Amino acid sequence: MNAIRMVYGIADKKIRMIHNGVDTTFRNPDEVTSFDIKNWKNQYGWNNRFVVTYYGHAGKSK
Amino acid sequence: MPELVTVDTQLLFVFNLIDSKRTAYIKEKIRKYHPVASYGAGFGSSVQIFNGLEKEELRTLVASSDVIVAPSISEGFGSVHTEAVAMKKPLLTTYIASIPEVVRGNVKFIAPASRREIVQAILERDQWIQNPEYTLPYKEFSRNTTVKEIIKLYH
Repeated sequence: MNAIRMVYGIADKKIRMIHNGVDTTFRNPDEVTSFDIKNWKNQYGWNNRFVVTYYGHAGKSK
Repeated sequence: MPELVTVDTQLLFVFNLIDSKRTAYIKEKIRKYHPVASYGAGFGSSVQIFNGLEKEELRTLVASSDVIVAPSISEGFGSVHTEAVAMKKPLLTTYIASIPEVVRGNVKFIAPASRREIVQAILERDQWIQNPEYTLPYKEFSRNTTVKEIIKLYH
């Protein structure tokens, strides 16, 4: 929104901000049980590790 | 971050990359610095690479992680960022574009394209993870709300 204001000089009253929506099913932590997490950690050797994760596209901007 | 795994052996870096033109290049770079990087289960290694997991598996991967790192240098919205914080995961990200506007919860901001600040934030994670001073207020971005707003705009 700032880019529209600053680069194109559009007045605030002409701008209506609507954010993207996100997948509320995917992002619900309650969909993953402690049992699922325990299994995952056992399966991939994550116990006693501090896990730093990147996921998504591998583009330069990321 | 090859220097990190040598100073902190507890660290495990996990990548789940969506297939694209740069994916092979990124994997090659990871392999260059971490010859023992594994695909999927890799007990004892410091780097694990997953290939485009399905939604349910990815959700479990995120839920099982300790921190999500998404240091974008440009961003239109920040889907990964909003997903990660909605999953109540600490997020290490950059103070650019839409990101500060859309994230909530436990967030540590760093400068864009700063390898040094990523390293420092991970090494000093105890200072910001679960620290109320690094907690941003609640925000919600549901698809239902977005659709309603768009319909309202055009009618």
